[in-house]
Amino acid sequence: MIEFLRHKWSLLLVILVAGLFMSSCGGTAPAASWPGMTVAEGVVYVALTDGKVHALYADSGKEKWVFPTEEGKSSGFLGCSAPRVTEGPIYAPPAVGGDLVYVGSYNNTVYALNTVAGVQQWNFPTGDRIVAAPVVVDDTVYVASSDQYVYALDAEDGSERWRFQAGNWVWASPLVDQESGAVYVATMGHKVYRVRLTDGTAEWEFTAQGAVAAAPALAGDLLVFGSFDGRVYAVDARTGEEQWTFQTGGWVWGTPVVVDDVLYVGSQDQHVYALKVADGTELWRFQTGGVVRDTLVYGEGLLYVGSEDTQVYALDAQSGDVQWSTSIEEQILSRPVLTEEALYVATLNGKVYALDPADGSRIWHYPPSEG
Amino acid sequence: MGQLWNTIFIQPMIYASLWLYQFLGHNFALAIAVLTVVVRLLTLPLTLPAQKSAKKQQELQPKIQAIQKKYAKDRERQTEELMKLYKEEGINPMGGCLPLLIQLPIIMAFYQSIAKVLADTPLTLFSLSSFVAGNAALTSLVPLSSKFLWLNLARPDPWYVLPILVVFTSWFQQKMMTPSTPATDPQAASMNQTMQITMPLMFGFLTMQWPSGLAIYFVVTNIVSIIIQLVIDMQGGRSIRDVFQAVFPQMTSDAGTAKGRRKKR
Repeated sequence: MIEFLRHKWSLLLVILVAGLFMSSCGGTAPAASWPGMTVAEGVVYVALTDGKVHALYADSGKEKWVFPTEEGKSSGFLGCSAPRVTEGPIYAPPAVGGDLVYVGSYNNTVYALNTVAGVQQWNFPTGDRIVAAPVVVDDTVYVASSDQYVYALDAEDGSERWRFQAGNWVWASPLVDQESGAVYVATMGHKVYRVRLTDGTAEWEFTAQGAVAAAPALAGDLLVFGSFDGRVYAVDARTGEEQWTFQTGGWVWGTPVVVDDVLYVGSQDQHVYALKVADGTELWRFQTGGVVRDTLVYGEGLLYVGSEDTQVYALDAQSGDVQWSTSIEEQILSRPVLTEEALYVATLNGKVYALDPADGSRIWHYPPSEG
Repeated sequence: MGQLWNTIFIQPMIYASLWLYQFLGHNFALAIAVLTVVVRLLTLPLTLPAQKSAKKQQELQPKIQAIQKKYAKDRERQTEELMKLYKEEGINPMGGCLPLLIQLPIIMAFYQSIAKVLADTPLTLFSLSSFVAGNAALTSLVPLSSKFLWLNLARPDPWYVLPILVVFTSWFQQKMMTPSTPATDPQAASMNQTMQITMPLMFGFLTMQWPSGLAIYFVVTNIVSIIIQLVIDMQGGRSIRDVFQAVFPQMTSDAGTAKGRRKKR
């Protein structure tokens, strides 16, 4: 590269190269993560792209508290965010259990905050970044980390009960099934494990053809999950034997939503699929204008879909027909959350919208001065 | 425009790097090194004339400086005489520029494709997915194993070994290109000195921030440039010893003096 510098036009070339290198930084810094959101007890807990957890009153969108309160570190040299390694974004939706809210951060740490004021009660450092949402069941919080471990922690004080070595990054939340006494762990190393709930011992493992980035779901005796190989897999939850697969046209990032004998899943091929749980037969498909990255949400016969095309769709779960759709004007890569009062949608640029589930009209948005 | 750029440049390079990764036993550091060499060899017809032209211009520095000195007050005549000299020596002063500009997109695309393939965050992986989702064989490789020796190729080198190598190889390469005769113009000499130090340091600083996979690319591309320059020098009648003497004049002269002293005793 140095031969450029010897030339008469070297300065111009250096500036050009620097400009091109920095072009990946863009004029405005791209999002360092996509938002993760959960709603509990009338409060929306959303980890936005600023690397902070915002607690908002679900009925008004007014801010209750923000964690952490201080400003985060710069996103990188000259504001360049890619491929610079960031330090504190949060991909994982927070999880609420009792009076604590649990947040897994990209700075390797899971935080337990009180729901009243967002004050930290304890934290637990893992060996690498946390992408998956923690899962709270009774007095245990299950945390998956990119350090290849799934941890079972005491929900009250964060002390470790057991850990399971999964052999690769775990970006999917563990699925805890108390009835069968099992935890299902999906990994980016193409594996899905069934692990004993009491001590973290593996009972079986299944190998997919691609990475599994989202939590599996249970459909009776079947464990269903999507993979980067574009397939939806159904395996026997007791034995790990494959029952059927369904091929979509793109990576499957979201957890399948199971309603009675039908499962719904989105794909990177821009489609939403409805499949028969029993054998994976396709019932219908609906095409959006962009990637359907995350999990769909079901309520009252409607399937709510957030798409990269900036639209929120409400589909008839029986037929796949559009009941309504509305443009949020920003990419949606995260799952919507549905309550009786509203459908909450968070966008890639860090905004939260509360929509009327009946017609998609806006109730409020956060931050209030924007969008 | 972005789509066209991705289709023509980024996608083929992503495919090539992933295929190499698969072929080389899932070792992405090796894949980067091999692909860097391949890209440099493929762009050789573009870089070689520039490198040769630059070298020839440096060899002509004493003559150029003499003309500049002689016609310091007559710019028009100075340009005229310089052009005459270039013509006599068969040099096109702008000839080196166009090939360099043409190869810039290739270098940029290579850099961007490495950055994309090294995706280890959900968002960067999401960005990569649009390039490889249609190819089952390549999709099965994702996410790549980014471990190599002490390095996580997707993150900066924690021991700063690669940034140091980038600084050294950049400095060495630049030093090879520097004329052995000192510039008579003090301003030019000062600029040369500053460039020789600041540019390698700047590249070193940047590689401290970037994923170490990209630092490997910089080190390998510098080494390839050094080898090419060495071949050009040797074709011009210089030996490896001459080249090293030009790069490390102090060390070689010290060694020569010490040898001389020993002989005297």
